[in-house]
Amino acid sequence: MAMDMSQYLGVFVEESKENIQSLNDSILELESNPESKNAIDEIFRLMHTLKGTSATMGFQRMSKLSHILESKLDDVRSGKAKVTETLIDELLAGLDKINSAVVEIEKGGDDSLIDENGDPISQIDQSQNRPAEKAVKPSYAVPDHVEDVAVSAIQKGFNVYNVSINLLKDATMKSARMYIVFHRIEDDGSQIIYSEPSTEDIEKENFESDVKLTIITKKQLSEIKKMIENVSEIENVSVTNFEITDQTKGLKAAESSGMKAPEQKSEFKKEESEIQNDAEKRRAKLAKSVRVDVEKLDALMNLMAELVISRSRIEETLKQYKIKEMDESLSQLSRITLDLQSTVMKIRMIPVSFVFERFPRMVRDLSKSMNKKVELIIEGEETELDRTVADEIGEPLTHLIRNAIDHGIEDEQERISVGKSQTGRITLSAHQEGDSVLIEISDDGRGFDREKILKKALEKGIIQEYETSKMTSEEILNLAFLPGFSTKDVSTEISGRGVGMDVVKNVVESLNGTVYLESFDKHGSKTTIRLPLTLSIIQVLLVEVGKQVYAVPISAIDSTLSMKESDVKDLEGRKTAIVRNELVPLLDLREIFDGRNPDGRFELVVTKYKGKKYGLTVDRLIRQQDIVIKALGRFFKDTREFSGGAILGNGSIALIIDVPSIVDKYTQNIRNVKV
Amino acid sequence: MKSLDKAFEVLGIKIGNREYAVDIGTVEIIVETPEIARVPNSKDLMKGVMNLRGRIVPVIDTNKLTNSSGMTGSNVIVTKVDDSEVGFLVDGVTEVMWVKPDEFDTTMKMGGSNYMKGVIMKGQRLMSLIDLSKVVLDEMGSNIQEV
Repeated sequence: MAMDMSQYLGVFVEESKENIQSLNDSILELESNPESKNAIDEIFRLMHTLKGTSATMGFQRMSKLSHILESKLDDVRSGKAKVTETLIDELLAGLDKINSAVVEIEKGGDDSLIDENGDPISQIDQSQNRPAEKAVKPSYAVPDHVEDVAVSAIQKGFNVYNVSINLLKDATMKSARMYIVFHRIEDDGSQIIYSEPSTEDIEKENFESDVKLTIITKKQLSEIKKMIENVSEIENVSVTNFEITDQTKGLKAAESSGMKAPEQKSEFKKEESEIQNDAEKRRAKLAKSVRVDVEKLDALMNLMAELVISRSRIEETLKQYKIKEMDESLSQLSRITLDLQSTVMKIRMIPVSFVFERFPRMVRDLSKSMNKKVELIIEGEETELDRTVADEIGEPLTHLIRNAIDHGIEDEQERISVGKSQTGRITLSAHQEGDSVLIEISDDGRGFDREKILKKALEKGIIQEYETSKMTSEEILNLAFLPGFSTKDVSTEISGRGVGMDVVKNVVESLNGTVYLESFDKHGSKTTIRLPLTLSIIQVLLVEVGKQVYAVPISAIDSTLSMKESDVKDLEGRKTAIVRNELVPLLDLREIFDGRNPDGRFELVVTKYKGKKYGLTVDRLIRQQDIVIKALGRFFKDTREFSGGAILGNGSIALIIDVPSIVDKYTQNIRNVKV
Repeated sequence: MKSLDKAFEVLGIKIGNREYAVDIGTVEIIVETPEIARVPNSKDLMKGVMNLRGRIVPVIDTNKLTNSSGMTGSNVIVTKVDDSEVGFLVDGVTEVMWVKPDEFDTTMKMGGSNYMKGVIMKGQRLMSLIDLSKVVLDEMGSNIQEV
């Protein structure tokens, strides 16, 4: 396994566990309701994700098995076959296998539990046999990679022993005793390649009285036994020859056991230490990354808000008493709460490089396996995103990049023949735009063939013949996002069946984002994903209407200006203002919210929506501020003017104005007149 | 619905100059009325939203349920129904009391409202029992149907 991937291992394990759980649920649902298209689509989607992520992480066996399981549903999905009990059994058995592999991976192992060919059936047998083996000789069941090391050591003429040590039940300083044992073995040029419990646990005295070791040595069995027995407080030592569980490996070892070369000792030393390091580093990474439930962060944020409010109350109360001595502590309290507040907000934000960094390797591997030359350019990886968004967006990006390599970039021959450079180029970029983060994936491949998309969509019954004439070229392109769509005729393991695109759309939309596809005929394509910067914090302009405070998202604001009532023009019964030589329809919030018809000066907040400007009239501008969005709840579902509320520093509530809804609601007539 | 052959506990509340009762089990907390933000263009019944320990909680105007007059709205009783917290604006609470089956009459419903379960008679004291959970469920339910 490549070391550079290890930092995503924690995320991978967590994600896989979630996906496996969902798969379990969906397969069981399919069993009870074999007609459920939803369940089939869901299983397909999840398997596809497992396939992709495990391939990205380098767990080829797991990826292969997922692919096989995914394929088993193919006929069912297309309606050619029915769901049978055997199929369900196979799916579940395969899934269990994947699950065990993930558990191994979490412990620092790999996916070698899975059959090389990814055959789920033979695995059922294996998985049944394995625990049995362990039950017979539980003391000598070691992970596969240890066995590999042992086998190669035997091949090189070393002795490999299993050592079982029982310390006295009431032994004092158990870890010190074991330390001495370890030292005696290693001082002698022997190597400990496996220990159960782990050395770490032994150091922490985190074990009972039994320790099992696998060692590689030049010494004889009896010598080792004697050496260990001499350590005090050891009740019993048994040393046995290492037994190879895997027959093929055993044969190899037996064949070559005759060859002995003294200098090979250093070689096996290196190998086994590499394996140990690898596993240890992976474990370390797992310990460092903590996946925090966003609900906990929300709770933290709520407490934070309460703290800020309590602080302002204390401040206000103390002001009345004018206690000089309190000033210092009070301002310190303010500073601390402010710092705390911004820290809490920042906890949720992480640079997008967290997601992007896995792609160079993926692109390299994919382009190699497909025999295409592809160069990946990454821009703006320092752009920050909400943690939740970052966690979710990796999967759709993986699909899009796979698609670009598989379907977009032509092979070398074709590229040269159309006059492009032989190396294809994929650009992955991120930047912030207002309250959104834009992620763009573009390639200089062949682009999307609209004719082909249309033909496919008709074939698959996604659209009907009569609809085609009305469709714009953009609409045709975006058909690719619908479920069950693919433009590539042969589905490959890398991307295909169109599962990818509908996953992309689902995930992005669940994050309140949008995805948009563009194609420049024969010159590539570009997918733009627009995501909210964060799911819960936005920057707003606080304004006052009547006695109440409202919040207008900064992302919707074009400009603000002071006006007099006499600046307002009447255009066919509609209030309109001229702002920089542009006619701007007004939405008088004083009238809409309060039913007032005031005169005098007012402030105009010019907002933009669908490329047009609309002015909101308010009494006063207060200030710009970051707020935490909270839902107003089901009681206000019909009041679409507001997208939520926010609690301000003084404990009062500001309603957040939803500019698109309010414009739609109060300007219907204006737009009708114009049309 | 409360079984009528058992005594049950209610909280007496004041709305305007009249006394009403609510099932104590539905009441989560009683607070002094904080600043309430009116939500323009929402239903008449909705007084607005308030800040309850960092949470935004809708507040129902009980005046609109009872047609009482002279309300000041000094307190909010907060109920929790189906995990939703909802506040009811009232003019204070009187006391917590046990109601025996023979003190409760479901055949008499004052005010003609759907939300009155019956009348509690404590000697000369008469008060209608308001079904707060029904108010909450109906209001949320009707919204769901409309969507």
